[in-house]
Amino acid sequence: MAMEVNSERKDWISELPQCILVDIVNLVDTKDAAKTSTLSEKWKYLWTMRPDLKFDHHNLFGGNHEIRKFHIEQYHFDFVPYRSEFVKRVNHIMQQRCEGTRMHSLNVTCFVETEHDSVDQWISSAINAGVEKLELLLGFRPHFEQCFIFPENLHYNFPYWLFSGPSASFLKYLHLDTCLLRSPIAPGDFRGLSNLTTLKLESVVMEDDFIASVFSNCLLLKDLTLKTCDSFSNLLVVGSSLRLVHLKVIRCLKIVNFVISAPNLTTFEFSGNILLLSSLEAPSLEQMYIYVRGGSGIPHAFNLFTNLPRFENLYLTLPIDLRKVEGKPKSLGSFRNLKQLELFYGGDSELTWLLSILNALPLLQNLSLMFCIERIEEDQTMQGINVGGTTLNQLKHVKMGGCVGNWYEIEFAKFVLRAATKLEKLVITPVKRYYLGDGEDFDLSLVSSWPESDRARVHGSLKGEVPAGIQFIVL
Amino acid sequence: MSSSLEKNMLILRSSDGEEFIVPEVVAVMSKAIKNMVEDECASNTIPVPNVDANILAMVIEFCKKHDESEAEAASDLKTFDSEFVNRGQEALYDLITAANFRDVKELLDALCQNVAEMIKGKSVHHIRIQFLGYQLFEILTSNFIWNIWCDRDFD
Repeated sequence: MAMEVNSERKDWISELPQCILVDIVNLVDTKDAAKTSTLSEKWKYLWTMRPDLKFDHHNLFGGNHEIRKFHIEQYHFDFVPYRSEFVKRVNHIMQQRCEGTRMHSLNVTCFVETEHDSVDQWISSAINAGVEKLELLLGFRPHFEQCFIFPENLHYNFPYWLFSGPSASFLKYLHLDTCLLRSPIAPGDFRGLSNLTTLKLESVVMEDDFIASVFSNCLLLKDLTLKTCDSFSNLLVVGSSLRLVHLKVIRCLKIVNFVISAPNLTTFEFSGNILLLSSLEAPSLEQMYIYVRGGSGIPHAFNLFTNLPRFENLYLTLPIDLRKVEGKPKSLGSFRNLKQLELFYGGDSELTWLLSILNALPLLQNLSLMFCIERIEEDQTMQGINVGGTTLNQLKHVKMGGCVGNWYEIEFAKFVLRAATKLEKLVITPVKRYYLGDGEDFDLSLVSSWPESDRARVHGSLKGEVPAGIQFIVL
Repeated sequence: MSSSLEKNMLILRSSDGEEFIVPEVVAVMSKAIKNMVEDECASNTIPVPNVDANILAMVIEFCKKHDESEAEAASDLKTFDSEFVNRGQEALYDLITAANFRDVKELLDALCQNVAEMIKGKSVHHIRIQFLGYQLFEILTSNFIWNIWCDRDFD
């Protein structure tokens, strides 16, 4: 393998200041950073000085290396060498790092069975290096069985008391997935977490005591996310000194008692049984996403919302399955101040009361309507929906998802185009996706695009109705 | 010249003596210049030692684009950045030094990103040629790091 030597080139890059070289290797994957250690003596340890460490499959093993698809029976058999290689590589980096090299962030994304002793050591090293952001995501599931749930005895017992050790903790951001948090024993156990501003717990096993300790000890906490944590039953977000600004409680199914009294809370997301939220005092609330499953939750939700002083300016997202609403438009009609609504729509028989709901929501700005009928139904003669006194003066964005080209979809689009005087954008798409909370969407669509003939038909039947200046998109 | 200078304009003088008239908002994207302006220790003409006219012109072009395009789509700016930093090694080296010395964060970030792209996903062989211009054969095939990170079983 003879290499042509280009005499014009010299070791130009190594002449740059060391801090810049560290910045550069901080931008590449660990695997690639390791390669630079072979460049020269100067580069040998540069890659270990990176302040942001991310250890996951892609980062340690390179981009082209795909994990093979495994069956569950093979899991224990085939992953042992893989897991030990993972630990070997991370240990290597941690050992190479010089004492006193600052660590800004550490992200470990791996298997739940990763040797817990090693993980303890990585955390200790991170604390000594002044880590500010720690993400420990041990819920890495290979391709098999997406919904594979790890038994509790496999969970890593996160040693948060280590942060209360002799070296001061700078930890501000903590994200745990598939870990165990045992309740504090000694009063000092929590000291190391007192600088936390962001805490995100996903599929974490913990008891009510732990949550209570978080609120009484982490006084700087601004951002709290609890997601699919199925082990605690009481969630009392209460206290006049709470600085909490953002709260997300997503599918924590064991909660039976949920109370919020938080003076600084401005955004709140909740996906779960709204009936369990017994009190909501949040004078600063500006944005809220609440998933209401059935009809009985609606009157309860309304009672909660009326106690919010800033309700009129609230940006509220409320996905509701119309098919399950009892008493139909009457109960929904109380949400006069709703700005954003996501609806699931079951068929033509609901068209009239869909319209009466819209009538009852004069401040609505964004409407997302998911059509749930997936077959083409026989056309019905329709005189066109009577706009009558309906005024949708605030409606700006309408998205119709899950469309297949049924007549009532087209009639509804025509209605919106006539009645919504301030409309800016109308999107009609076969894609059916709705918001699940915590920035995630759930995609239910059968197809991602229409056959061209259907698209042309829908587009053609509406084209003449679209006033100038409106963005009209048929996907 | 400085008497007829419009308000909110500054003159930057390169190491080889060329002068550039630049809006103050653009010039202060260099934190070093910003500090000088804020401390009022700068006259209208600010010397920029160690940066020649050629490189200074490039830095100014970059800063002007970033100043103008605040409202522009972020993706357009990204395209501009990646095209801007796509230069020969010598210019790249001079630009990084200038951006570092004058503390122009956005430019330094874009340049570091560009160098990082030269490493990403490349073989050791390729990285050596790119940065050193040659391949050392005695390297490190017996090296500990090499053994851990370039294990064939996992590549």
